[in-house]
Amino acid sequence: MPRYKIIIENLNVWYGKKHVLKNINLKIEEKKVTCIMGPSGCGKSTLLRTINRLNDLIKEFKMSGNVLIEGIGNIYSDDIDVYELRRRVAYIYQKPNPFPMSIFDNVAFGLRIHGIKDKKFIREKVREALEKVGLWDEVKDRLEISALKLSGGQQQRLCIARALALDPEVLLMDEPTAFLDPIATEKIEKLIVELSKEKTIVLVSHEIHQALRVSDYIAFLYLGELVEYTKTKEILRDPTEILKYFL
Amino acid sequence: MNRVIHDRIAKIILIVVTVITLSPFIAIISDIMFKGILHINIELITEYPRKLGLEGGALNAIVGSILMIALACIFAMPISIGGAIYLSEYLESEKLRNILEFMVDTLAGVPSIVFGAFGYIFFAYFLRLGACWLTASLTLALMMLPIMLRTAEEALRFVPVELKEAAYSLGASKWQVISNVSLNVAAPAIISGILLGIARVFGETAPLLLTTGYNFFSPSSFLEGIATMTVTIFMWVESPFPELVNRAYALGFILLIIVIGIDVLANLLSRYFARHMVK
Amino acid sequence: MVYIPHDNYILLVNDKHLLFRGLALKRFKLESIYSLLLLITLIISASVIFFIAFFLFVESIPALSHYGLSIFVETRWDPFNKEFGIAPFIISTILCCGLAIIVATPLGVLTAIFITEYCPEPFRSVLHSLFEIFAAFPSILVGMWGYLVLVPILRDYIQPFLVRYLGFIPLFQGSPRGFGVMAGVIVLTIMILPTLIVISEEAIKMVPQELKEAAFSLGATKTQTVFRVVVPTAIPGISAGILLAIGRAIGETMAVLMVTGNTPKVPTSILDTCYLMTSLIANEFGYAAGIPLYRSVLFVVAFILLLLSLLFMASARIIIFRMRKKMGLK
Repeated sequence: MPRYKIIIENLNVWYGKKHVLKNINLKIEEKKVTCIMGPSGCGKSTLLRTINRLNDLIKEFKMSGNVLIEGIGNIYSDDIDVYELRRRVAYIYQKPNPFPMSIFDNVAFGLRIHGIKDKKFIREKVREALEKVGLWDEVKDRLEISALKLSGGQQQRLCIARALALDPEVLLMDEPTAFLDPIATEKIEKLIVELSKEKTIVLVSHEIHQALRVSDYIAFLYLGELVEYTKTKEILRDPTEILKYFL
Repeated sequence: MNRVIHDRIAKIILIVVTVITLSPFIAIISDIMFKGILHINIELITEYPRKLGLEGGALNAIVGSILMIALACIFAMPISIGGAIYLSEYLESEKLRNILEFMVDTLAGVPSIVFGAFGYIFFAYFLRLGACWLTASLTLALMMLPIMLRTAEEALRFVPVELKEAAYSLGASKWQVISNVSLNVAAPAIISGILLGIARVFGETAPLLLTTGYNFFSPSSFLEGIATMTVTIFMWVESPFPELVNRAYALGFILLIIVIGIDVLANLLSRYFARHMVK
Repeated sequence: MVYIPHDNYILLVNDKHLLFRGLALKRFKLESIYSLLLLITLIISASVIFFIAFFLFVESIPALSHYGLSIFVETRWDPFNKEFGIAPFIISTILCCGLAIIVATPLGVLTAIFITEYCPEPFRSVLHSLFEIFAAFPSILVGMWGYLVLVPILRDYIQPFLVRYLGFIPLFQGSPRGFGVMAGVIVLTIMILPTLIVISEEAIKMVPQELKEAAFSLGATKTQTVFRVVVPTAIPGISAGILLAIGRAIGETMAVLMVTGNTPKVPTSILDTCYLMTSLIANEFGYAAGIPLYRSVLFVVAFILLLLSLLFMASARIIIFRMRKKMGLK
């Protein structure tokens, strides 16, 4: 029986009066890459943000249904520590958003705000994270320079490292390569496949080819509803109507 | 042809008007500069006054102004920055924010002598502090409040949302986002707001006349009177002694340099912030 | 490892995560403390204005209940004989501020027009910065100059000249003392000009380039464009600036204190000495502090000052608010 990391049951999301997600039922397998696709504005980012409760930041957000994460429980129950949730369920943005601080401080930020004070531990974690994203060799001699001096691709990998330093179990990535050139994109796609050996990854992407390269499952959202959820391998063998829209 | 001459005449008239407008300011500055530099000496800034100021210097006033502003800042900064943080980061309702901003802004329109009257009746009388350093600083703090608060609020509003979201997505709490990200990014503008507040009150005299006594030395407690450069200049100018008038010019010159210096610094800082952040 | 059964799925809790736990409760509690403290600072900031109005009003009550509204029209001011007519002060303030704004407005607006529309670059930023600096001028220094330089010049040169050649006009009658309305008006003008100029500059700069180009494209000269298109468009902003300047003039203390002579009578000519509301409080608060009724009358004056300056500030704000609304819709 497959092990599921995230179970979404009857999820409905409203922004004010707008019904953005309609009755989503989705089970995301652990240590696999699940790609969420669909036309613009159909709720992909909203779905992602719901999983780590980033939507709580939006005033008009309302939801019903359940979001269960293995090792945590129902993330919308009252006794959940939201901050801990976000540590374990990381979110990567489309546009890289490093803090205007040094590379080191960027990666160490998460550790510090969660109360870690041991300097040695922090240094090890920073190195570990930067190594995982393949940045360590590129920046190990200039950890003190401002993160804003890095290229777009490097900045995005930095943001991923920043999240990895917290040992998350789930990575939510919202079109992480949207602003990157093909070479940087390739690096990140390789990273995603590598990371999925240990972590569960939910990826939003606009490009079907990226999904085909990288993901194990593809979920289709259309106008807020989940209309298709298949294994990636099966799509090539037997494309459905909706997939033809993309191919 | 007619219209070209018309244009030229207009320009000339405008130039003349501008010169007329400029002249009193140039006159005042040169008067203070020349007479001030003429009568400045080292003991003015290193010695306490003797014989009511006829001998010695004005160290009590210089130190006094600095002490007074420093204490005022200690009161004004936490309150204004705190209020700014709540307004920009915690308050949800747009309407309420406008109302509160308005209430803070009206403070900027209150005449300084009225602040003095209030300072007296509230701090000196009602709170039984008497006319002293503490009362004066508290009063000045109220005067600095609106500028500091609004500048800080604007600065915080300008912090890019992506940075705050990035911190939230790593599991930071609201206060952590504010203290680790927002305040860091907004710091230069907030500092320029503080400097503007200081520039505003450094040259004030009227409220001090009502809220503090004088002191020929530096105060040894918050409840003692305190001398300031502005009040000292006022005293000396109105005195019948020409030597004191000369000293007033020297002290006035120093005051002018300080006030202009702070103001220029504040403006430079806010311009640096504008350029640096809009990137 | 702990197993938490949930329907058909087994959820596992790993103790590696204990590394980060423990922070949880502490942070929730801290959050509410912080937001409460911040709220308190905001409430303090917003309520100061009410405190001021309240205390001033409360302190005015003794005088008002004792003497009633007659103090506003009585012109005799003799505190030690219990005569508290504050009309001279109100009239002096209105007169001096009124004349000051009449003088300052054309000077200031035209200067602003020159700086923004006619002045070539290196000078423009210099002039602009100069006036920004002048706006921060300490009023005591202007007062000092007024007392030591302006008053003697008026007394020894300008006023005798005026009396001689214009003395037939009642406005210019009287003996040249230097101190008085004329000095007060000059000093007030100096105090309010910089802010007026800076605000007018802003208002003029905000006029969109397209409007000017439209006028030019129709063949208008520079002067015509400026005075028929730009300035009229900038009028709301300039008016707000004027209102603010009046508010400032009313509240100005030190500069006028030292040059108006401070005699409690209603001035009838610009050579007369006068006594402004602000100077009254600055001068006599010390004496009055210990005498309840006397002090109370001064608070009445302070309260009027507060209301007047707030009135002008509020009007300026309303204009700016309406302006922003209009521009927001464009």
